[in-house]
Amino acid sequence: MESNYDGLTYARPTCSRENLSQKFCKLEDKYSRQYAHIYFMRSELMKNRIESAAKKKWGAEINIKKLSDVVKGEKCCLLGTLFKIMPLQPSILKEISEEFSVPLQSERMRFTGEDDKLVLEDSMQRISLVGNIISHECFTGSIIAVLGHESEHGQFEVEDYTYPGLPPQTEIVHVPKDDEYVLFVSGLGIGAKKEKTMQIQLLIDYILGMLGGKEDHELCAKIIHVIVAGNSLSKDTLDKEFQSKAKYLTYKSEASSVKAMCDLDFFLSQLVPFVSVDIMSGEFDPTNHVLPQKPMHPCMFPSARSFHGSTFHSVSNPYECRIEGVHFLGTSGQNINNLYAYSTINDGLRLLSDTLQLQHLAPTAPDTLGSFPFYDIDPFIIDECPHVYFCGNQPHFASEVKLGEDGQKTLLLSIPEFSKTSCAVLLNLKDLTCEELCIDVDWKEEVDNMETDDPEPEK
Amino acid sequence: MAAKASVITEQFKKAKQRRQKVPLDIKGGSVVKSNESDISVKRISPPSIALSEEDKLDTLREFDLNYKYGPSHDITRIERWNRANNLKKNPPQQIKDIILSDRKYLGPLWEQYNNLIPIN
Repeated sequence: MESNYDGLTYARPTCSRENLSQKFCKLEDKYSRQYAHIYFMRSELMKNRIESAAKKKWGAEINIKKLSDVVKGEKCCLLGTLFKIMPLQPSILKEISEEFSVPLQSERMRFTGEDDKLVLEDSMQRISLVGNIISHECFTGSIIAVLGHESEHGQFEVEDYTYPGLPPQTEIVHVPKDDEYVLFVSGLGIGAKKEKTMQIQLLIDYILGMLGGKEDHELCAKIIHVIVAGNSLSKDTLDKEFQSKAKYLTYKSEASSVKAMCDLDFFLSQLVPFVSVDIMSGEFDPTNHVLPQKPMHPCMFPSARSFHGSTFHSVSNPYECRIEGVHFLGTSGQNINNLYAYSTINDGLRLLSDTLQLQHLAPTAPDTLGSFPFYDIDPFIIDECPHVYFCGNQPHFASEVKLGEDGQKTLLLSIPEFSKTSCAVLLNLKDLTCEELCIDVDWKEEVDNMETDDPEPEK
Repeated sequence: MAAKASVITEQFKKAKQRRQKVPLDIKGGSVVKSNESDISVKRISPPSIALSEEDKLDTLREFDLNYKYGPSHDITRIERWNRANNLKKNPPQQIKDIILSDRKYLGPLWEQYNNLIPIN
């Protein structure tokens, strides 16, 4: 280790971290409730916010009416929950209905179609929306306000509409003087048929300062926290075949997720003695399937759990926390991926921005995104605007600063899937800028000599 | 009238509780945890509740069907009352007293129908 440079040591600073995700962990055992309660709570809790947003946009004297009081031809403003009728949406009723004998739908990535219709519902009635509102860019379950009038055909002609807008934000109290980085990585995909073990190990070595030169060591010493945003296990570990095989055929073999968890624990146990790690649950991870997902149980991490409580934290999905005064809020990507499938918006940042303006993490829950049947809260409502709003398992890295009307400033961050892109994201807490960190290997095999290129960490 | 009613209901209460098998979710998760102090079923004969059995049932039925407090299905009345209270909708205290006065008032209107099994 006595090297070309002067044997400098860099000390990693500790970070102050506060977990704010308690509301996402309140799950009872009762799954038998119906979902009407969530929608009731959602509209009740957001009523005031949407009303003030409507008044702000269209003036305090606008005519806010209930659906039952609407008069034909009179210009008024309606508040309610949006519902999108999509004929291509998979429906259990259509599948079991004998009258239609509809052929099984081919697997689709997107369920939008030409016949999608929008409907606004309030506590008693619903009305069709036409006019200046594009159904492909709206989501079921959003609370909106529309301005317009009822036409003769009984539909509501929309002139303009608005979302609740960004929630209030508290300022960052202490801005760090030096660069301090938080590393985001998601979609490690351990247990896949083509898993990227080498790349994951390289990433860990890089964070620990065992790779690269002086500048890299200096940079990595400033990484104060790592957030693993879901899908640490690959989809291939959800082996349905294994579950349906008879016990006598499988008594000696293990489910692939067991080995994958051992590998994940091994990777984490290298990191946790040196840097604090938050590992979020994801779509393919061993925890409950519906949102909000509970944290993965520490019993599955026999090595890493010795640091449980100090540097190792298994956290829920969605996850909200405060690190060094900066407020983070994010998910492992299920909410945004569901919005991709039910709208024609391709830009992940636009979807993040829309959900923030709707003040709701997952408007399509519980309609098309599995959700726990809450009856007295809706935990996905965003009460405070975060400084960093992230979402994992996206096709590429993207980031943008969003400014609100009341001075809010949020960094929207889309974290790429490591198993596809071999990229992680470094966020600088000093000025909330971020950059992509790509770590990849390039194996070339030739007939005569086996040549292996040196792995290159590059930014 | 009040004194007579309390005597009659006290006599009948014992008989009804032996026969009734209403599947009330008293032991279920959140009800016990969050409202432990509320669910203490006491044989009280409060002077304030001078209502007959039918009046009580009528008031509770109105509470169940009132759309202002949200859906009433799959949720105990006390949970719904607490939820309405937290949302600042001012549900009358009288309804809470009636619900807590007897265990049988806990489940909503529809729950009684779960017991109806067709006899072939």
